[in-house]
Amino acid sequence: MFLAAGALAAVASPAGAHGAGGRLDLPIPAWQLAWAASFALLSSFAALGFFWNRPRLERAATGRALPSWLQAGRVFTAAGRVVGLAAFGAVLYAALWGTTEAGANISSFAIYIIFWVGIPLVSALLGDVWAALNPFYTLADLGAWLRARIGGRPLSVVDRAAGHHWWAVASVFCFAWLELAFHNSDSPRAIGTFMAVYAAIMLTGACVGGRGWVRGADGFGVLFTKIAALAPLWRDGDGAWRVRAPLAGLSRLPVKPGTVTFILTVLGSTAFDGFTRSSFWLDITSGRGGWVLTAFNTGGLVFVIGMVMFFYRLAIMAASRITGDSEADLGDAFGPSLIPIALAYTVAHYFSFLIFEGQMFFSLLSDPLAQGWDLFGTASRPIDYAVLSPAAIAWIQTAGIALGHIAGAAAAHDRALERYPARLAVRSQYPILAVMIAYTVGGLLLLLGA
Amino acid sequence: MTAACRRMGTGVAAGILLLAAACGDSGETEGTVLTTTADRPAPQATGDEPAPVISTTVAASTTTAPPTITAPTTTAPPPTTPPTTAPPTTVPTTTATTIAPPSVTIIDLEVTDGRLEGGARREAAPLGEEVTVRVSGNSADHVHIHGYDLFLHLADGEGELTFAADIPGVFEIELEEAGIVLVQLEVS
Repeated sequence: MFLAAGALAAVASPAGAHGAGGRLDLPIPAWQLAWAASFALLSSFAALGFFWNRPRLERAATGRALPSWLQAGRVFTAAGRVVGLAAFGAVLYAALWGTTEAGANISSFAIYIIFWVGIPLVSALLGDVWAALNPFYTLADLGAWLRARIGGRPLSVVDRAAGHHWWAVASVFCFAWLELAFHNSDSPRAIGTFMAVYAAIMLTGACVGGRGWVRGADGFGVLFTKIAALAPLWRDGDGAWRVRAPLAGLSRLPVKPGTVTFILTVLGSTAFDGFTRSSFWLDITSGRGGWVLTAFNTGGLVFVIGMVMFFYRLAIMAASRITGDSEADLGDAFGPSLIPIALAYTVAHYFSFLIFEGQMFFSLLSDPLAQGWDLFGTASRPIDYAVLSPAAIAWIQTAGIALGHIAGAAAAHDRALERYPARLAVRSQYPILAVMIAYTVGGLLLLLGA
Repeated sequence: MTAACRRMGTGVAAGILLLAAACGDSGETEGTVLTTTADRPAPQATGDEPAPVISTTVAASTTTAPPTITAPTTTAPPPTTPPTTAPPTTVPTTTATTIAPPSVTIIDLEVTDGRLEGGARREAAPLGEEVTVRVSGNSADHVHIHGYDLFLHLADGEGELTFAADIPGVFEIELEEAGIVLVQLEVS
C-alpha cells in the first residue's frame, strides 16, 4: 500500500487540492446548528428514557424474503460483475492513459464522487450493491476458481475468512490520504497509480490468502458492506433478497480486530475534510503548496483521526468502569453503532459534491477513456449549480447529522440492552451517548466553520 | 453517574470547545491588501439571474489601472408583482422597482515570488454582484477561480478579471502552477 505513496512522487502535474472539488458549501446558519445540536441532545435523553427496553434489532435482522418475482437471478449477478470489472478497467485506462487535465478526465469524478460518495449512499438505501459489482471479488473468484481447477482441489481450500481488518484500515487510510492530504489529488495519473497498486495488492493477496483475504482486506468492500447493514434490504447466505427494519443489520455485523479502528478512521478522515475548509486550517496552510502542503495535510489527517479515536477510547474507558467489562470487549460491542454517524458525516460533507460535481461524471461518460471523445455530445456540458439552493443543502446537511445521531444512539441502546439488564444498560449508555454528542456537535461545528 | 463518567464529560466538553475554537472565524488576517466595495451607478434588475461572465480585462502594464468594467447587459424586465385578486379600491401596484446600486467586490492580491502578501484569507461577496480579482506582483503563473472555472493569466505577474458571482458557495482562488490557495471566496 505504501508503495503507492512512493510511486506518486513520480507524478508531476500541477493541480489543486480537494480531489475533484470546485465548489465548497457555505457555512450553515448558526441558528440551524443550535437546533440540530439541541435535537441531538434531546434525542439522546429520549433514547435513554423512552426507547424500547428489550433488544429488538437482533430479532429483526433476519426479516422476510422478498417474493420470488423480485429476486434477482444469476443473470443479474453475472451482469453486475461484468459491469464492475468493465467500469474498473475503463477508469483505470482513463486515469493512466487519458488526458492529464483533471477536469476533463472522468477518473477523478468516478473515484472521488461516484465511487466514494455515491456507492455508500446507495448502499445505505438499497443494501450491499458493491458486493455485486466489486471487481476485486470478481478477480479473486476467478483466480481461486482457476487455482482450484488446476490443483484439482475443492474451492473451499482457498476460501478462508480473514481474521482481522487491519489491511482494510490501511487501504482506506491510504485512499483518504490520496484524496485529502496529497497535494496532487485530482491528478488522473495519481489516481491511476493508486488503482493499479491497489489492484495488484488485492490480487497478490487473493493468490496467497484466497478469496476470504480479499473480503477482509479490501477496505472499500468492508466499508460499503458495513454501511449496507443500515439498509432495509439484504441478501442472505443463499443469495435471496430479504427486507428487514433499517439499522437491524448492525446487530449482526462481525467485529474483528481492527474493525472499530476502521470505522473510526473513516469517520476521522471525513471530519478532516471538513476541518480543511475552516479558516483555521487556511491560516495554517497559507502559502504552502507541493509536498510541504502534503506533509501538513498528512499531519492534520492523522491528528483528526487520532482525536476521533481518543474520544471513543475515553467513552469506552468510562463505560468499562460502569459495567465492569473489559475495554476491548466494550469497544468492539459499540463500534458498529458509530456507522450511522460515519454515514451522516459523509452526507454532511459530500452530498452537494455528489449533486454538483457528480454531474461531471455523467457529462464525461461521453469520453469514458479520456481520449477527447464526445460520444453523446455532453463532454463539455457545464455543471448546473442551480439544482439545489444553498438553503436546501444546509438542511440536508443538518438533517443528515441529526438523523445519523439518533440512529447511532438507537443502535447503541439496543446493543446495551442485549448485553445488560435494563438499568445497567441505561447507565452504560451515558459515556457512549456523550461521545456521540461530541461527534455530532463536532460535525456541526465543522459545517458552521466551513 | 460515577466520577469517571463526570471526568470524561469534562474531557468531551473541552474537546468540543477546542473544536469550536479551531473552527471559529479566526481567519481574518490583517494585511496590506485591502478589499473595497465600490458602488457603481449602473442599472440592474434586482433578483434576476445575472449575466454569467461580464468582462475579462488583463492589465499588462505596471501602472495600477482602475477597474475597467463594462456595464452588465442584463435587460431583464423589472419583476412586477402581478395583481392576484385586485379589488378596484387598492392602490396601484408599485411600478418603480427598487434599483439597488450593484456593487463590485474588488479583491486585490499582491503575489510576490509565489506568495500572497498577508497570507491566504477569506473574502465575502454578495451573490449576483460582481467580483474583480486584481493581481499584482511578479509571479508568472495563472490564477484559477474554482467552481466558476475561470483562469486569469498573469502577464508580468499582473492581471485583472471581473466576473458575476452567480453561483453560491465557497470557492478557492488558487495560484494554479504553484498549487497555493490565495483566497477562499464566499459567495452568498
